[in-house]
Amino acid sequence: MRHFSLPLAASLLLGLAACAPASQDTETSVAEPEKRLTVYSARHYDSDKLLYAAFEEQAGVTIDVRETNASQLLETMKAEGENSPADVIIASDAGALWRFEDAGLTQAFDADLITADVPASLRHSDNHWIGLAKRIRLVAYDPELVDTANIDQWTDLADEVNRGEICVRSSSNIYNLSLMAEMIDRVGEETASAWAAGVKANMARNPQGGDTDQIRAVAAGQCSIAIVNHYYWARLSQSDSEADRAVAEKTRLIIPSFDDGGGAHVNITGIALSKTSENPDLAAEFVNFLLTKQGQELLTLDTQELPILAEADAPAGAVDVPPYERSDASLDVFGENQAEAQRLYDLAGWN
Amino acid sequence: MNRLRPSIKPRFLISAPKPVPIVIATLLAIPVIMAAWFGVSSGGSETWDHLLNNRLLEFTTTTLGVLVLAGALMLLIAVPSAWLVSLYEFPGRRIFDWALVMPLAMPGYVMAYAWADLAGIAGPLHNTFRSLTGLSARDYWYPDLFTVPGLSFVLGATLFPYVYITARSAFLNQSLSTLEAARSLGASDFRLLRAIALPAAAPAILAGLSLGLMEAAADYGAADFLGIQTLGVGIVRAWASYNEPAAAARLALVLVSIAFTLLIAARFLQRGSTQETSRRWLTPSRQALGTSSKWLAFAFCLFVFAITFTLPVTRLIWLSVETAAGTGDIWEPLQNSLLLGTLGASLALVSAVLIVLHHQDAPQTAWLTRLASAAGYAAPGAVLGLGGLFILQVTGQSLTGLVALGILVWIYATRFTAAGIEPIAATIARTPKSLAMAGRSYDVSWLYRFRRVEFPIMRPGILAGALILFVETLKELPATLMLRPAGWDTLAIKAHNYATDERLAQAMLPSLLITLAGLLPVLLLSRQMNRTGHKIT
Amino acid sequence: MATNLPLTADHVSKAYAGGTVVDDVSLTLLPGKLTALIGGSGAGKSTLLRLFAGFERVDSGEIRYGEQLLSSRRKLVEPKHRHTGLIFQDFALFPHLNIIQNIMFGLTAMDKQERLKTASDWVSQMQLDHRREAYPHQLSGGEQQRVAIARALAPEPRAILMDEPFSGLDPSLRTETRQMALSAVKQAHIPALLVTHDPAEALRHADQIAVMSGGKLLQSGTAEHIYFEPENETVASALGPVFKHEVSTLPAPWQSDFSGRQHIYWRPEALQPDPDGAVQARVTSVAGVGSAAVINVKLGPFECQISPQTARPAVGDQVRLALDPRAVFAF
Repeated sequence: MRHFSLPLAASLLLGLAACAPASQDTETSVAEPEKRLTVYSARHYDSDKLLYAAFEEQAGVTIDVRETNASQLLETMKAEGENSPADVIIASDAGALWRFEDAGLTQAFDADLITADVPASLRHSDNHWIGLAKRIRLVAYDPELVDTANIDQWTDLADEVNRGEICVRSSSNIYNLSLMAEMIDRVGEETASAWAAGVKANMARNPQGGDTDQIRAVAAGQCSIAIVNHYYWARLSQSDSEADRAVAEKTRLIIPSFDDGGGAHVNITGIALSKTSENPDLAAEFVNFLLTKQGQELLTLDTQELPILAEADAPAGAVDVPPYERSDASLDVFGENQAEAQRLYDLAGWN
Repeated sequence: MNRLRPSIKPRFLISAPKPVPIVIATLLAIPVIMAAWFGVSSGGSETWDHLLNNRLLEFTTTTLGVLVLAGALMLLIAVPSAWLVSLYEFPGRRIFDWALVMPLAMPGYVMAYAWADLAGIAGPLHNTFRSLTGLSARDYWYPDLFTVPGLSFVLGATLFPYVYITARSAFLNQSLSTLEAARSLGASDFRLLRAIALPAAAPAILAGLSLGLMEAAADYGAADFLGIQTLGVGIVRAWASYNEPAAAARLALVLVSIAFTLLIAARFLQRGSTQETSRRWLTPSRQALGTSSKWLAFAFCLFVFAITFTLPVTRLIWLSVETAAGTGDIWEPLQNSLLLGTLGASLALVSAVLIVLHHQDAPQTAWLTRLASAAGYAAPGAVLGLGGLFILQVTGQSLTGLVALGILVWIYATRFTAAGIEPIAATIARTPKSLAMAGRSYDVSWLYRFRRVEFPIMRPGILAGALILFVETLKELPATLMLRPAGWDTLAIKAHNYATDERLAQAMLPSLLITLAGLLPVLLLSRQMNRTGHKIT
Repeated sequence: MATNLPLTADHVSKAYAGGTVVDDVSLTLLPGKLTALIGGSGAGKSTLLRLFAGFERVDSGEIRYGEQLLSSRRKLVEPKHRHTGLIFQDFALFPHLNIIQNIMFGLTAMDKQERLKTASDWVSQMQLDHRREAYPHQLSGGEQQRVAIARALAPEPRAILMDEPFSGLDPSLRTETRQMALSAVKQAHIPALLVTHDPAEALRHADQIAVMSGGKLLQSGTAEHIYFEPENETVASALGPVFKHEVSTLPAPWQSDFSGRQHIYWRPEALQPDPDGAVQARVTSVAGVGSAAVINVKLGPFECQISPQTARPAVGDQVRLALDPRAVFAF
């Protein structure tokens, strides 16, 4: 390896994905009689281990898992190029899955092989990825300080009545980007931009920390409105720590809707099929398993997300999530509007 | 043993096989060179222009700001406490003497997790304060951890032992009679410190500071968790979010130059330590303090120890116990951590030993291996992780199984070999030169001589080196994050994943285990350094 | 500060974990007088000096300057408030300060100009003008010690304490440095203590000599008194070689002088060649010349050294000897 020439190395750099030595086409599927499925997952929950074990037993396969955050999975796959062992990618947020698709790292699932009933709005238009569980971005508020009439629409949050009351995390976070991406789609760029500026003006403090920190700040009284994903609140309510449960008890959830009556901002955790996968059938089998009652309940056990499948029971912490409606708008816009969303946040001065 | 024939004049013809040092230097340098080369050679891009125009200055000034603040904090904590434990007798002095080294066992990101939980607006400190005062969270100002000063506090609190160790050994080695002369000339204790002890100890203190700052510059985990845009975070972001490894490599160049400058400064300062004319290097008999001053000294040391160790560790333990239910899967990461730590430390240790032997045999080419190891040491983990990924690309390998493991261990060796060289070289430096000369005057095989002469001489240094390397590998986060084999979670990764998932309580147990695993080596090391009063790197 | 009072140790004791190091010592250092403290290593000399300087607390007894109490079991005036000059064997110069800065270090009571002038005067007096900007490591040992002396004396201390100040020096430098140092000390008219292991140094320069052994002060007094009237064998041998003889083995003419004694001790100079001497002895060996000469004679069953003389006898010569009673002791 000390002998690689500079021009060769340079050409490898410029066209990484295409330049893997042909001889590297290895025995992963050819020589192995045993079925193997490689999962690249941006999740890291202990219950996932149970999930994989259940599928291994049921389908007689071995699952190799690589867990790291989504952006690093993405770069790892780019670096691995054609050699990537990944069969499927599990990541939270449609916006994150879009990045894999955008980088050309995914391929479409064969729709005929996916037997489970996933609404068209919760999967990619070409089936590059399929929703597995729902996550709702909403507001946790202090019931003693806030009149719910002032926060039941997303646009209300920009209203002057909420001045100095809002806690929210940094705009570069994918949850906020996806929220804004849908906002742009629903209300148009101009209104969305004004909304960002209004929320920025209403902030109790500079964006910092994660969603849980925002809920805690409400409980501590620093602000009264926190924009968060529902499962962070659910986890606090289910925590082993008494202090955490006290935080959940001091706050309530409300799901603001978009102005046009278009319902809530619902996002997904989804699964994408890697372009390099040599087992698309096995991958589809895995997806179908994830969309069974057992798969759904294991999938949401630790995360406190909401199952997609109607017959699956919601995890303990998520039963307190208020009822909501969602339009059939496609999640594809989450990715498509991502860059624009960041630009609008930047303009509003929302760090 | 008829081969043991002394020759007439010393013959220096026995040496490690010639290619060994070259191979080691090459191996150690490749990841750094890869990262740097990709940064320089790849053409400009939109992302790079964006980073250059909009973010580079911010990344750099933030990093420098953190270094300045963290450095000031390290000095402020370490110098007075080292001064107190070295020269005075007060309650608890014997314990503080070694206990103040313990924060070194705690990685910066663990300190950040613990303090974020402790000092968050809804954390125990604030809750207690509010329930005592009846104030609401909006009624008072409080120091915010998620800021540049907050990150500086976290880094200063974990890295001040670098300064403490060097300052303490400098104060202990100070000439007793010089201090007594100053006292007899009417110098107050403060003047004694300011005019005599500090100038004499300054080179050692600054050397320790440079090392601490180098580690601070290399931080990724704490800055990432606290959301501070340092160069270390910028590198990983440029790679992972902007999808632009070349831009990341260029940021890395800036960071490596900062760290390398600090490393060079440390070496330069250590070399230029004061020329004492006084020969009586006795440990000063410690002065007993008056009633109020001795409790003041106790209070200061206790305060330092509490905020840098006791409080955060107690919190780690508390939350680990409270959430004990969610800890089923800790053994595998623990085993992985121990395995990776052992492998990484072993490879680094072997290269360190070979490099030191090589320095003895061929001092004229020692700069080669020295430079290679120093470059690796100055390169933060994120940079080397990048280098590892480039190696992967160039060789067309995927990050699986043994390949990833091998590359990761290789990166560990690159990163930490220099840290292993120092104690080994120090042990050798303390033994008379004539001993090695005598050993070399015999016409025996290289291995035989190593086994019978060098190894026994170097043993304490090798032990210390092994301990340092093990702790460092255990704590390492960014490179491990980028390169670990699929499915391989270490304790550091586990803690990081939980923390980024906002499951701080679950992050506490792996964090605690890292800290505990590092504690014993750190204490042994502190003891050894206390005894020899030798410098560290 | 030239009040010139004595510095007194009054029944002072000090013990460490290892045992008593200074045991009930009383010693007065008179102003303008040089007191030499001699004794073997471990005798407690340096500890007594440190007690005088205030670096250690006394376990019992008192240290006073005039009537002012400096140390007792309960009280300790700290070194910085004692105005005591100290000179160490290893010079203890501040390595990061140059000569003039070293000397100025203790002159805090003065304004800047005055400090500079005082320090410059001392530099001249110590004949260091050409080195005033030099740093300690650039100086020879003798020069360093002169700086140390200037630094100690410049603030006009109430007393000066010297801990083997000349033993670290090359013999060729020692005499000159010592001369310059001790004359400066005497000019200051303050109590001065010189800890030394060199009896010749003590005998030549000290106004008072105190002998310590095992933590006790065995005897103190003028050099003359100590040298010729030692109270015991330890004191006698602390000031130079003494020979012990059994009275019964002495030549008959001398035996009667010491009847009732079992042993006597004499210094080499006690055996004087004297044409009228009562005893005759044969020279058995001769080495050296002049005052360094060592001449041994056969005296009964023993070989004894006799006082050197200008006329150098040859081996085998017969010499007549007298015993000078001033240099003979019996205890």
